[in-house]
Amino acid sequence: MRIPEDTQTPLERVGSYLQGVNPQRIACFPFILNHAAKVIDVPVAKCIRNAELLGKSQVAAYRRYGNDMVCIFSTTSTLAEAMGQKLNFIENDAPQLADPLIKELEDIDRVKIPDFSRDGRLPVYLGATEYAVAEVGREVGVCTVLAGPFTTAAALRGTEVFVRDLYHNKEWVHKLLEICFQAGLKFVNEILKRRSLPDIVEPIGSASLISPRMFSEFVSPYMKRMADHIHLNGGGVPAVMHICGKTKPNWKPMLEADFDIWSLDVVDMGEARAFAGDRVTLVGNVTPANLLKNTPEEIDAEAKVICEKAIGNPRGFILASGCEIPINTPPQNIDALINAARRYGQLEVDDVPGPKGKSCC
Amino acid sequence: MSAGKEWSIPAALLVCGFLGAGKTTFIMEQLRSSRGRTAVLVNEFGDLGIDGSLIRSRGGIHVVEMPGGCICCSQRESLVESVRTIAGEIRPDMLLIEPSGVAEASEVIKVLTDEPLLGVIRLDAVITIIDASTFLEFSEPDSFGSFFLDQVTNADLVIVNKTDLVSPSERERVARRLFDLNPIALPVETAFCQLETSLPSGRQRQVLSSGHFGLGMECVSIVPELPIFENQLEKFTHALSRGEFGQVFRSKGLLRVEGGRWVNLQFAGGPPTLTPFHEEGRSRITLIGFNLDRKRISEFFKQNQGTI
Repeated sequence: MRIPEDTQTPLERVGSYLQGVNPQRIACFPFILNHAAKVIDVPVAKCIRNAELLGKSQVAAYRRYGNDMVCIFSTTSTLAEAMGQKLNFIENDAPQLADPLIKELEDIDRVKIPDFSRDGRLPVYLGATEYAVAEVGREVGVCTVLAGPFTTAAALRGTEVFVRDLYHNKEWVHKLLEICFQAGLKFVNEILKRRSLPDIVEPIGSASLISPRMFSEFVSPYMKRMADHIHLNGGGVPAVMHICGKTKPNWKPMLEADFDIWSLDVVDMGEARAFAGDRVTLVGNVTPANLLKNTPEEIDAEAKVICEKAIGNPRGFILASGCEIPINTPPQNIDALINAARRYGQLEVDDVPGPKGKSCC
Repeated sequence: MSAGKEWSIPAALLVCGFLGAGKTTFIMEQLRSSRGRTAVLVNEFGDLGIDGSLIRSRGGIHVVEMPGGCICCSQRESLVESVRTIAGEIRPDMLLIEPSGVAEASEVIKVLTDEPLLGVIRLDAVITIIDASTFLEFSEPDSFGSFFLDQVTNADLVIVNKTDLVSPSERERVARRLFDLNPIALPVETAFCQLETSLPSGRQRQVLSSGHFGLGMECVSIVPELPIFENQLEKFTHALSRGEFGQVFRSKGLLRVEGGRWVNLQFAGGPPTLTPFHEEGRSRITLIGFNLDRKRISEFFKQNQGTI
């Protein structure tokens, strides 16, 4: 099948969604995060600790692949790191959490709202954001990824212990979540100032880890406040939420958070569309592990199935990987994903809000 | 390993359990009695009270820290690489894998039994440790995310730990809840995670699997491919009682009988009991004991002829 050529820039394409009109084809976000270091042949650990390298790697990845969003990211623990949590850096992998900052409940006093000009690697993130926006911001959107309050709190406390705290130390958890929320809000402001899109990730909010009741009590209220803040102060940008893994049992409380875009992973996109498609734009969800090990033909086939389920979603659909693509993903597989968006995601251009969906033969 | 000994694919045991259940104590207890070269892939070094470098060797025991993060997204790649490295460089006889206490066992099992690790390790059993004193509360459907029940429903062996902290009636309720969640798993009650013997092992999803460690107790787990005939079932229970499969200490199974009914078989030294099981399930029978005749048990179910 011939691959149709793009007639819009990524920025125009994604902008169409915001304007409520069909783009020429659905957008595609393969989440090229730490993989970008490989594009410029720099070790991951070096890349993510240098603003210019981090920005350059994402720009280079964009120029190589043509993805529709440039994402600045290295780990979901970046905000926690700036708040005092130590990380262990690995040469060619994402950094890992070291011993938790909060070992005893009273250690909460050691947690600080960071100084965004100097704490942790926040200057790296923000510097990379500025670089990317300056280099390619006229043709492609830039987003900067930050962890939401729940995931940040889990990073500071240690996930297992934190999950148990939800049972035994509810008040204390809310106190920690409030600190993490305030830090996250400031991060959002810094991102918005630099004309980037905040992408708030809450992987610890996955249904594998917490129940709908816990999500409703500990995640939704803080995420709702973040979404409200973005709606009020973001100049029209959407509130974007990503939760990887299994999320379906938590969809109802996720709606309470009032985000505009859901980036999803281990779900059936058809079910997600049926449940929330009139409220949210859906993003996803080719399996990241498949991007590593499958052939381009298999990736195309998987993407086709997802497109068939999700194109026509009333609030729009963006083809993407379910989560970060593995660092060693073969380049041809990323090409296959984006080409699948071109093949299966051609849309009728009209002025009726929401993509209508039409397969190209 | 002695010189000249041929190295075979290491058996792997997946040890699951939420924080505080006694998972680490269990592993430490087993390591004390382990034979041969043993490697342990742990969630965090701190769990075993080990500081320092990434790989710590002590005698015949090697401890490696698992890459952090959930077993989803791109972390699967790191887990596969860790297992490959351990199998290739350390060449253990046994590999114990202790993921995060909030990991879904089913996801880890998928990674360990998927193509990249075929012929690298053999997943023998999934052992889940539960804390008897918190299990009833934590196993309520809306308590945690799916990880908690997933660790129980995917277990071959459930160590019901801290039974010294609960009353007999609570132990009974724990046992009933466990059965409802996973009628196939073999539950073993402990205090301080102290089993009477070394680790049981032996589980492969499709065929007979067994293992033993030196002089310790053995475990044989079978997934019958065909329904069992009524007369075969009778022969099996008689053979079990007469010790014709070895010295069986405990046995538990869910068996589909020709004609469509399901039975729950339990054996704990006295006459085996058979009770109807009214739901569709998955046939499996597990025996633990000494000097088990693996071949005879296998043949009994494979051919579906009930010959002894």
